Amino acid sequence: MSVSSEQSAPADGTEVELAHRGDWPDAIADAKRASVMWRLWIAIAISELNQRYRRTLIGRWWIALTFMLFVGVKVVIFGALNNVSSQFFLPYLAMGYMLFRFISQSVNGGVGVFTSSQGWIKTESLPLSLYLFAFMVRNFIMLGYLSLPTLAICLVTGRYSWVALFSLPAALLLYALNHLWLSCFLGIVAARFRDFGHVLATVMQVVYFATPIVWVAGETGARAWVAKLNPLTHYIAVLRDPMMYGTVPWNSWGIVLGFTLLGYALALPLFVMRRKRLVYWI
Amino acid sequence: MASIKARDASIVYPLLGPDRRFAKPQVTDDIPIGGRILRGKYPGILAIDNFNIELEDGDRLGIFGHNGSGKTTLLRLLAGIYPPTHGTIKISGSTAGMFSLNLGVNKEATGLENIEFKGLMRGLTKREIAEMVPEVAAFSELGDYLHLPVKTYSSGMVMRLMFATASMLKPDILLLDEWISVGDGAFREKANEYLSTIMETSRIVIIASQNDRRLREWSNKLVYLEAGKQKVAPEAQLGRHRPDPDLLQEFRRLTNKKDYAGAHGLVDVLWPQDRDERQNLYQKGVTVHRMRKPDEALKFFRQYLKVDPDNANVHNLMARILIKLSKADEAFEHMANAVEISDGLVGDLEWLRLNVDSSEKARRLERIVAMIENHSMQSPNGF
Repeated sequence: MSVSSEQSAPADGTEVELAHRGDWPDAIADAKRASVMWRLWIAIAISELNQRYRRTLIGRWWIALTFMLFVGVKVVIFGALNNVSSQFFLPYLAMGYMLFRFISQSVNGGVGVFTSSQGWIKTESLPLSLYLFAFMVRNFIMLGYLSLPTLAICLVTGRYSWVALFSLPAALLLYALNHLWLSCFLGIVAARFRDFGHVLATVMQVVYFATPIVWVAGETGARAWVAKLNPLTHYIAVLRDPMMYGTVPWNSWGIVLGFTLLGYALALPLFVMRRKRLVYWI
Repeated sequence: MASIKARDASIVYPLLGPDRRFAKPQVTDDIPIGGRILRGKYPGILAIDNFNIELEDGDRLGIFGHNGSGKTTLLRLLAGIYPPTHGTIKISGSTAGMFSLNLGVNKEATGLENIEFKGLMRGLTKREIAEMVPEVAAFSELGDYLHLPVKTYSSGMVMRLMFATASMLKPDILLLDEWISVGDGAFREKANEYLSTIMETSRIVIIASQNDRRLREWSNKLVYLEAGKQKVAPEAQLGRHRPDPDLLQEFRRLTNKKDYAGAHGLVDVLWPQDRDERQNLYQKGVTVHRMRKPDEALKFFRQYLKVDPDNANVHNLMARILIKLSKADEAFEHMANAVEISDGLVGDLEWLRLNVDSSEKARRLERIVAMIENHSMQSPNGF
């Protein structure tokens, strides 16, 4: 018996090779293996969506339908509270709400990205990055369904610009990169500490009201401060501002890029160090 | 070439968060089932304790143990699903495991979708998978059920789906939990039928079971698990085995009477300590033969004959391999042995007749035919 409960110091004093020490080449191989299997992660993403809407009449269009209902109700209620025209408020709210839904789904789903795939993780020796990719594809497909009514609203209200067309690919890439680190980080932490997911779900509900979606931030005042300090404001701005105002919000781009780097600085080492423990936590 | 090498591999399931309180000493330490509960700063369950094994092409590993001895955990370790928490494991080759009817299939997805998933996991393209679907449909006999979600299937149908997909994917390493031994007779029969088909296409097969006897019949390597610890097989603990003198006399009498078939039946009882080696060589030979590697198969069979020279089946197999390799003389020799040892029950007497091309061979054939006729006349049933 050379295994003790003290993992790094076995009882009989002999050296035990600890297979769980962080291994960068191993983790990189994991990501590489997963990225080659793009067919699989797309299939997983589609199948998960299909299951959610199986036996419904309109299928995945429920995503767009619920979204439009929410936007419609919110425009009526919150439009009156904001001193802006509905020509402005409707596309503003639709885009803001669409992007917030995407981000909150990546947070709320991200905490369960590994635990909800335990059936797969415990029966197949597949790279763990695969589940991050599949989850990302699923969220982007849902974003696609939300973007159709949103685009229609923008076209009808005349809120679109060529600047958006140019900044869109870069912004989407940024979203994808952030989606990956976020779900990776949250997935691992929430698998180990189960309270974390519940805390985040509560936090996200509060954050919704602290983000300029149903209200417009002025130049000064308490709201302006809240908006500026909230990173989600900037994440939303990189996609919404070019459409709304025809300008590129360089400030927000800088902040979002900073958060992206910070995110990877947190998530990558965590993934490398804890990748092999994960299966025992879910 | 598939292989598995485990060196001092251990698995400790961590007890996390509020679960830790269960690690307090409550009843007694001598719990008859399950791995040892580790207390202290990092509480956990020691499910696999310093496991060592080396497997290569042709190996059939049986894992024997009672409930909670760590069989399923060990299977998952060998499949590369659970990384060892201590020690190392090196697995080369593609793996496929059938651990339970509940895991490994997506119940909400249709049968076809499940087939597609498994194919994509192996890196196949959608077209390659589509080409295989008719094969799976035929093998599983599921028909239109493949278009329905798996949750509508009976457990027998789920099993068919799993077996059919596994056989389609031809994994290098196949791992099976004992659940295949459940169910009624017809179910088990069908499962065994499927099993033998899949095992032929896999280089390494690993089965965990509570059925000691079945494992012995089937495997060339055996692992006994007790609370996660690898135990020496009980047989080997007995030390040097002395053959029973009465049986030995009977064996000599049968050999003198040239009743090789009867004598062969006593070999396992008389020298059980060599049995593992014989089975090992035989299994390896048959496996590499099925993998169409005749030279390697012959090598294993020749080694086998050194341990047990009177096995008609082995002679017969060798003869057939040698015929394919156009080594007529050697083939004749082994075929003649097979027919002679088995009294004509094994081997092809007609082939011998057709391939007599020397006076020496003709004399040998004459002797064999005479012997068979002589024996059948002695036997009252003409047998």
